[in-house]
Amino acid sequence: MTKDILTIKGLNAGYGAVPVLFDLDLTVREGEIVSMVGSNGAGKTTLLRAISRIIPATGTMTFDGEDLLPLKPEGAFSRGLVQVPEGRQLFGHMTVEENMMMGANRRRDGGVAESFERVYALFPKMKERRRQLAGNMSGGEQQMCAMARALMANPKLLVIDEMSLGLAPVIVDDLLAILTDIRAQGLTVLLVEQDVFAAFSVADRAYVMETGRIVREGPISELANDPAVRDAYLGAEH
Amino acid sequence: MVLAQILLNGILLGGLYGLMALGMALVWGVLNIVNLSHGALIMLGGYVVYYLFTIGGIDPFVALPIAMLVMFAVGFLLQYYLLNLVVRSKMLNTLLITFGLDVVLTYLAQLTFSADFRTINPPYAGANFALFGLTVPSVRLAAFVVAIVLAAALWFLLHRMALGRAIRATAQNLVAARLYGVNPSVLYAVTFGIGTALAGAAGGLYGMIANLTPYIGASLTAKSFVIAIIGGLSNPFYVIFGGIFVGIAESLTALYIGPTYSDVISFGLLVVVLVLRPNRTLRTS
Ligand SMILES: Nc1ncnc2c1ncn2[C@@H]1O[C@H](COP(=O)(O)OP(=O)(O)OP(=O)(O)O)[C@@H](O)[C@H]1O
Ligand SMILES: [Mg+2]
Repeated sequence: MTKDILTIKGLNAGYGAVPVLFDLDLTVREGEIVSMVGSNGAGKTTLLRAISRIIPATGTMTFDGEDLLPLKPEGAFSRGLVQVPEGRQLFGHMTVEENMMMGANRRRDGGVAESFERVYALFPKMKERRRQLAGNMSGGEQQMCAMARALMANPKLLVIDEMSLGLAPVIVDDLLAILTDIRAQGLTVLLVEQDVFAAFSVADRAYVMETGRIVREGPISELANDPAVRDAYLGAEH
Repeated sequence: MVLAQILLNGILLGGLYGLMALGMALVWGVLNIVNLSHGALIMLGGYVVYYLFTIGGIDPFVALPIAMLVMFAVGFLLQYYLLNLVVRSKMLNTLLITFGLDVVLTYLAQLTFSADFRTINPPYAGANFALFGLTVPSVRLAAFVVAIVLAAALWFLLHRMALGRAIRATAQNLVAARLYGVNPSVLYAVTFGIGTALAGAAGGLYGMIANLTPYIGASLTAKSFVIAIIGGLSNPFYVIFGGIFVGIAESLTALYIGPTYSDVISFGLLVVVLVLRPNRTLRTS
């Protein structure tokens, strides 16, 4: 009954002649947190680049009922497909507020002031730091700033790449709690993570990727008890 | 008194120098292109104002904004169809292609405008007034004011407007800019267009206080390059200060050492600056 916001079928993508993703299927439904896990070099970031239309791809990709493949990155962005990239990629010499304004770059709906309030309510620290240069903040603050910037675009689907990378566990927990809040407000999230524990703690469903292919998928309750997944990704911590 | 007059002349001329360098610094900082055809674009802007004045009968200061629009279009098209091929590629590629462009523009200007000297000579060209015992040439003062106003406008664009924010964002992080709705080819073309429009304004003002020929480009490129390095690429007002610095230095050189050396002095200053501040950052922010 909930509709699909992102549907991917038979996706192939890579860099020049080097294929990275093979015949990949993925669905994200409205209101879900879906997570994509997999080890280094599995192709997670490559998938997100294909979704955001940064790299060419073949197959079918539908976003909110519209064919995603012919769109340019700015087209995907202005339709509400918004990415928090790996490594945050902030505009380091701009203030937190200016970074957030870049998130609202393409909005013409007059709701930017209201978004500022809503996002500052989620990230009170960003309100305190709004005049600070983004490049001068700690890793956790930078991740918050990157998420705040993305939320300013009023996304239909928020795609996050390696949210937890390089952050202390307490900060990761904070961010996960915020993600849950954001979802409660109705936002759909695709969360790419190497930290399977973190990902599974907030997601409804997950996909497991290995060398460019989906090898497992299902609800978290199922995957967390799947012996293969436990051995490969949750083993050390169980 | 002579010294004060010389300083005043240097400051007024330096404002114009700063304006010349403004577009070069913008393009360098955002696109990482050291535009060797920048002086030729200044020259072109000078001719646009010249013809608007002589054929169109438009006052040269009124013609400036028109020339800026024309030059914006020229710059936009050059970047979109030609220079986007080399943007963010190796420095040598950008130097080669803009050097080629300089040669082509100079040659076309010679064919179209002939090699004769031209001056934009409105009725008030020689006007001046006295202030504290100094002679203030009106046109040079106006040129100085225009330079300051345009630097302020550029600052406002970059720091207070959505377009400028996108320009700075793209200079700082191309990956993120693309993910956040910026189309780099268009943004680069707009940026180069703005740089070219500024060059055009500088050319129009230059034509009111010096001779226009198709060959002025190379030395103006060199001067703009030196000023961009002295002023840095981060703040339009620093570029104007850089221009004023060079303007004063040139005037003093002409007075104390001899007028023939005033062209050499800007490179002397460049060497001094590079020695004193070798790791001066040229990043835009
Ligand atoms: N720009 C690029 N050009 C060529 N190959 C690339 C490029 N980026 C990534 N690759 C290759 O594509 C494959 C998948 O990389 P990708 O970054 O998508 O993996 P990942 O799952 O995101 O890994 P990580 O968990 O380390 O972020 C790797 O083999 C990588 O070497
Ligand atoms: Mg990755």
